[in-house]
Amino acid sequence: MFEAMLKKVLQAFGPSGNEGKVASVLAEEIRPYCDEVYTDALGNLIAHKRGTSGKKLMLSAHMDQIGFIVVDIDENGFLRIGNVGGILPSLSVAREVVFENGVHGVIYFETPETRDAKAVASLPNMYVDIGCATREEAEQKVQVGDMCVFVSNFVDLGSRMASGAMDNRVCCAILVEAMKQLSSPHDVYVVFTVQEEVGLRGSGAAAYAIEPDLNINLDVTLTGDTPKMPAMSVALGKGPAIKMMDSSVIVPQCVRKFMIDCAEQAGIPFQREVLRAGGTDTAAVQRTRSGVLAGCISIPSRYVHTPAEVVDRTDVEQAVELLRAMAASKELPGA
Amino acid sequence: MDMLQTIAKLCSLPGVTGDEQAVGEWIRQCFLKYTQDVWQDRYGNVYGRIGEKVGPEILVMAHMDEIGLMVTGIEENGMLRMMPVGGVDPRVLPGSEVLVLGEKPLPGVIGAIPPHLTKGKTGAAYRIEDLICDVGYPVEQVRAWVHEGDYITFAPKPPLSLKNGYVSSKTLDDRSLVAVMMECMERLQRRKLQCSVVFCASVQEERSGLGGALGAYSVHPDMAIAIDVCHGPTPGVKPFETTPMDKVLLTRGSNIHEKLFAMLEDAAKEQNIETDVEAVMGHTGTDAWLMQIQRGGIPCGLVSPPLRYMHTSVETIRMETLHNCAKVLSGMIGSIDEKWEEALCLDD
Amino acid sequence: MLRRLSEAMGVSGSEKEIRRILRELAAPYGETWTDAMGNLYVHKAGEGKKVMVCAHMDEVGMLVKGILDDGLLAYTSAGIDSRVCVSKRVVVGAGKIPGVIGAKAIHLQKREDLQKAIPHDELFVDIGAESREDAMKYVKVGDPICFDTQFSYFGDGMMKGKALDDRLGCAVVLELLKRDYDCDFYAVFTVQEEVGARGAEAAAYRVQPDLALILEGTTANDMPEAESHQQVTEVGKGPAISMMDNGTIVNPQLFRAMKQMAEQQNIPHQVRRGTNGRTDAGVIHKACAGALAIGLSVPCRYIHGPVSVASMADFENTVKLADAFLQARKYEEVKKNV
Repeated sequence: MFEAMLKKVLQAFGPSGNEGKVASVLAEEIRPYCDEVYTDALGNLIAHKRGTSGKKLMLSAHMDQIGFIVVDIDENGFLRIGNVGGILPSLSVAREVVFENGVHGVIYFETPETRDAKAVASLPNMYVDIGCATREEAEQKVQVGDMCVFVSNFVDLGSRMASGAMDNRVCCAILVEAMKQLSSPHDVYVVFTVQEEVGLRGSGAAAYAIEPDLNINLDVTLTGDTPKMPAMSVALGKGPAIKMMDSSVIVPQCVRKFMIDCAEQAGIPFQREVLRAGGTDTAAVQRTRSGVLAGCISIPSRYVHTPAEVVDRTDVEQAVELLRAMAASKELPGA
Repeated sequence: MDMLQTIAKLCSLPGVTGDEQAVGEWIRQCFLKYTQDVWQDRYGNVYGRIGEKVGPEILVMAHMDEIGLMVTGIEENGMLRMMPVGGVDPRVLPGSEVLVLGEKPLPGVIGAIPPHLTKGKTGAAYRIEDLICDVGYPVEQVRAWVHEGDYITFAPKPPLSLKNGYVSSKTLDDRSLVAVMMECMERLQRRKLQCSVVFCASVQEERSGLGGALGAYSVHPDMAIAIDVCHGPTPGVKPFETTPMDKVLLTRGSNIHEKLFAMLEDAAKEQNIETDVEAVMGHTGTDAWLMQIQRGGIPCGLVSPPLRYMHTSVETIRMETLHNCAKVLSGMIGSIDEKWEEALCLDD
Repeated sequence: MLRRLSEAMGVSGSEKEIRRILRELAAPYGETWTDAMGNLYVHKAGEGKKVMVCAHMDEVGMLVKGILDDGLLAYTSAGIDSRVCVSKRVVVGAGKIPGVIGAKAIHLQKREDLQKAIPHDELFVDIGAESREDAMKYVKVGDPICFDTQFSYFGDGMMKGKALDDRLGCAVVLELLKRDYDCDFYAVFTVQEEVGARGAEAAAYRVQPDLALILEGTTANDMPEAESHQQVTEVGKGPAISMMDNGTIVNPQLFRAMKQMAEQQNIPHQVRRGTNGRTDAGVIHKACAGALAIGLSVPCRYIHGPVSVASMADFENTVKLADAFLQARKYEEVKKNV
């Protein structure tokens, strides 16, 4: 597997709206495999490889990660924070965070009576301690408006692996690897989108400009294979999941069929995903102009939106295979 | 056109949000009776254009999708887990007969996991997690025919005629208004129009409003009118939340163009059709919401017949009120003349 | 001018009166037109980037929902806390029929009633009508209702009035229209911001700007018991520069450029210390192929109520900062990452 590249992509700083660093890393990785690489007004990174069919295939994955933004610095040097994306407050307490400039801090919360974080931690009473005693000292290191993200290690679990930012850097890495390997009759646009975690804000603008014939998005999804999880059929290690529906989007029948046919013909195992809660960029792309056909490959992932997101190596490798198979297909759905 | 027969056929066809192909195909055939200018878009909206290539273009939209369920998993004993598609109240599901639309359509029954096995107490409302769909086959066969992502729809039954021209059926929201569109086409066919009219049976209104947004974007009309049901009187509802069953409801508020509202009101008055007016500050909960903001802003109107028991299998409507909706719409469209731009101008 | 803007009626979706006033005030400075939703555009054609400066003209308010048999009006509302409605004067409809919102006399209430807020659906507008039929002579269902508040200056350089969110923003835009900038300049007064930034969606499609500068009146919670991070902004500390809200994350380079501008010119300013709320920027920046967008706000206390409070100096400094930023074309300092 492309573990070295994945690690580089996982470590790049990039909370929603501040994706500059991760965009640079991805641009460098993907540049050798395409004809042009550029960004748009919102910061979406677009890598274009020309084809001959006259059709446009857009492959996308969001490159932003969840994090925190500093909203105020108090006189004792504590940083008050707001969430950037779907932070779970009680799981954020006592975690280490890092800012773009390398300043580190730890998160804690106002503790008037209890230390039970689950009971009392909520964003308004949480703060980051960066080891400064006064506002002036803190302002030398961090400004109101700066963002930070969880610090996390890459944990090798054998056939599986864990890290923060797996959502969605694992999919960014899959796209880089796929671009390296694939050959396609179509114009392929790989789009690393911004600001997905705060409401699917980047992908629509990219699709508006590209006007693709088909968009296949990649994102992580939840699984039902951990103790007491609500019934959900997706599990780790059973292959990439093909999205049917989530709370933001319904994948049209012709796109589902195209994706399933490609998987079956190439002999790639897959799962069908119906996600009760959660949305993805696919929804914003479908809504573009007079409608863009769009579907989604989901990488099954445990503990999403924590610093320990777990994915399976085989699922990841098979997702690359599935992308190759789809990109190679002469016919695209909806023709 | 026999409206009751049309409604009976429309309501019998499956078309859960995101999978409107079957009902869409039948509507396409119906539209072809009135015009050859019929087409479908990528997401399944069905369009039919009538009228003249002069003057403004008016988009009339009723959605053809219906609420339903989707299979999320298959249990070891072959029973299906589900999730709602659109605004389904899980409390109305237990004991419902359904059709599972897998590789082979299978009749099924919705059952509830006994209360003592779930956390809920007796008397507490069922949640979707407490419900299963039983298709009566062993698991191997179920797995061969049914997959996660397959749709489930309420089992169709012929509409039930009640007293005074009241009719009850599933999916009257909003298929009865698709029938109203056809009646409009029939009425307007006989008239000389000074505009063109695109009728659109839209997809995915019950969830995202995708069909309305794409329809208004691609047609880019000069005005758009959504036709969708509103609530009829039911005991226990606060005053001004419902509309008498014999009145056509016209909506006012930020989602609605003030002058288009007035044009619809005039058309009703001219034909002595009784109307009721509802004030909605923001979202009307219809395709008008997303149509309004396409292409730099489109004037929108909303016409609604009252319906009782919305989103159940026994939605109930009054046929005469449906005809009146068609009359209001065709009256308003028929009255459009070359002064339409002034009539809609907001600067005065 | 501030008085006229504040006192004009313009409930979301019924912006006729405020639009007429804005058009009259803006017409001398550029080509003006109104779109199908009621957004008012003023275009000063020029070379360079397409810059859209906008403020919303609508205000939170109510609509007549129904008329009771005894002539009282039930209403529906968006964005107004029912606790500020009781015991207020209002006007109804284009004819500005005077009315009051009353409540059961304190003598008639039970002790436990006094502990509860009165919800909107238990409040009614009284225009003095004696029956439903009588009321229908003056009002129709769907007519707008807004607070009847007179604008005035008070205290030390302060002002009070209704709809300062966002008539102060409109006033800033009008001031900017008087000056010339080196760009293709659009001023847009948007409708329906308070019901979901609806007008801005249409306006962004029509203009497709490179940069949008959104002028707002924003929350100031500089109140007793509020800690610094709960205040969002403070009145008197200058224009608030937005970094993030529920609809927008400002491009970090653009945010820094705005702060730098204020520092260079010694204009008092503050960062909007909160991420709640949303503005027209949220829909404008992601419309079509995307744009840069940043908000600048005049801090206002008690927004979304019958009377809010703001500082004259903050208003003037907002004009100064916006003007300096556009004059210096600071937005051109934003560079792409790749």
